[in-house]
Amino acid sequence: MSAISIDNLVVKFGEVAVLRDLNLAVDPGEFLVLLGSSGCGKSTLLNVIAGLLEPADGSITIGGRDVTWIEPDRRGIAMVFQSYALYPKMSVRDNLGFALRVARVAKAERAARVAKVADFLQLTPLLDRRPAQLSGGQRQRVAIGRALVREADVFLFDEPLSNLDAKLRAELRIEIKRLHRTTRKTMVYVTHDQIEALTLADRVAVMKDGIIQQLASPEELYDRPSNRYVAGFIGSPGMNFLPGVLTAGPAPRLTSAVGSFNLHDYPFAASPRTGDARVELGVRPEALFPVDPKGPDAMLRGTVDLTEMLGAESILWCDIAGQQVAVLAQGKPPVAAGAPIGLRFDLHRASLFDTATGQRL
Amino acid sequence: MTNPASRRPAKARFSPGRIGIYSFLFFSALFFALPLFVMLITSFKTMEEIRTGSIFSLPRAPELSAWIKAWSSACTGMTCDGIQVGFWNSVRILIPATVISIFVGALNGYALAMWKVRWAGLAFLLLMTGAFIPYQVYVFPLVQLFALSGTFGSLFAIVTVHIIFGMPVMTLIFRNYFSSIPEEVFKAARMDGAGFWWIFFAIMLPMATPVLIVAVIWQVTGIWNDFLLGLIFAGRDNLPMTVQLNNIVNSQFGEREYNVDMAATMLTALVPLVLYFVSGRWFVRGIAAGSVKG
Repeated sequence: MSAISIDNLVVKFGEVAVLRDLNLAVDPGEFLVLLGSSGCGKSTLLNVIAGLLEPADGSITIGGRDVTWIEPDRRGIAMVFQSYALYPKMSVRDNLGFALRVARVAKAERAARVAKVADFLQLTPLLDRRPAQLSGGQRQRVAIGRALVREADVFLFDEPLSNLDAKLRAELRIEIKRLHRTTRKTMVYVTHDQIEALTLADRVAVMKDGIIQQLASPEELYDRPSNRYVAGFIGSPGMNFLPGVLTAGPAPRLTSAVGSFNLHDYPFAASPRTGDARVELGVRPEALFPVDPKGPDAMLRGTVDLTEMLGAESILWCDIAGQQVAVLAQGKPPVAAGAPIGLRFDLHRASLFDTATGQRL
Repeated sequence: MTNPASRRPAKARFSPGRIGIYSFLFFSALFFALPLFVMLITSFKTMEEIRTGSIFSLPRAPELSAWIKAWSSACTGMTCDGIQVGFWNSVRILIPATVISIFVGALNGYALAMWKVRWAGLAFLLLMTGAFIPYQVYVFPLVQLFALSGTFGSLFAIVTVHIIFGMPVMTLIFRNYFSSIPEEVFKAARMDGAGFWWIFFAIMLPMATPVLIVAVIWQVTGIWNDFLLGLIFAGRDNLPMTVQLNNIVNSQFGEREYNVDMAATMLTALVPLVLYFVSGRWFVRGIAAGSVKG
């Protein structure tokens, strides 16, 4: 049984359908990330799961119970917001205990549960402070604590780290991961940050225009993106795309401006259409290896345009027959700017997309 | 090339424009303060001294008798109990009218800003339309309504009238304030299980302190200074201080007691004046308070 099951969900803002016929199942104890750029419907989906937005059609089941028309607080869920959404006139203690106060939990039990959560999140010394007297990271910890106090089965996070600076974000990301490992609760996490998505998630749902483009583990998502959008969205620097023509048949071949390749080694997901088709070959920057441009290993040949040193690795921006190609190399740039370069790649680590449909082949 | 900073002309401390501004401010202040000054010194003079006609001269022997008479024994028509009767009437009108009108306004503003109320836009538009129609237009229909229900000329009538006329502005300022509160606070409260009243009393009202102060100042001065509504709706036993003041000043037999009139006027103006002195800085802060940080 799924922890959360969303069936044929339709959400409309006025006449505009933001989500159309969306289906999604979250396993118990799973950490699912909804990833997408702004306006893709990921926050809308989260708000509908939370019960803060009403769907136009479809159903939401949490823990086997249909909650489509049930009030937010009766769904057995807790939520953490981007802007922390702490109650400014209440102390940290009262913020944490507010849900219990509303639910008329006895004072002694309330204090015990608040103390337990405060201890877990190292908030005990801050209990008597007001939110205004806390730093951003502390505020978000209080917001997480407020969700924990409710002892819900499902946690929803709406871009909880977006308001923090880079260093704190990395710290809290680890705290959230640890939180998931210790509590083993089901978590749904909305973000536009692919690093957060890839590091935290058991599975990632990449969304665009209200449609889930791909739902897969971070590894699968990165190595075998199911379409052109996902391939371009995940990864930095982004995947290199080389347009060309695919000649199908027993010995499939790709003919492009940068060269012609035998696709015998490529693991086709779907059998390609017969005849010629316009396609794009996608290769990740770290799957391209600099080799001797005159040697037999060089599959692509060109010159290095620019190099960027990132510390542990470096990016080579290469010009291959008029096309810009990024190469991620370990350590210092192996080839200086302006020098000729040869590149080798493994076809079974590459991705091939149909230009017309954008789908993986 | 010379240093550009040294070529910049020194800022003149007393430019002609500055002098113009300060002299304008000085004369404006003088213009408004002078009547107050005359009132104040006249109220401390004896009638004999006033009769000499030099209104700007300071009292030779300041005395409080006019103030005492104004408070406790000046005649308003047939009775001679001073303006204290009006003072307590005004207090009896002021407290319930202020508290209830602010409460209703806060509730309206909260509901309109936070909850998706059906026809909310239309309701708000109607309320605002009401605010822009001069209230004298409503006087006669209201008189008829109160007469019909048998409550005309009572404390209930005057308090109700103040609540009704206070509602549009109160709703407006509270709606605007609550609209500036991040929606996520409201969502978080709903996730915590709080309903309409819990969110209102436990979260929104405590956050609204700055507007509450503005609302109190607005309503207290408005209701205290009201003359017409009090005269019409309050009834003979509940006439507010402003009406009593008018009766003292305008109905006198024999000699016109300027010192008593001045003292009575000062007493009437005292409540809003004190309120402004105490809360002036809060008033500005409340108006400036927009977003909620942290």
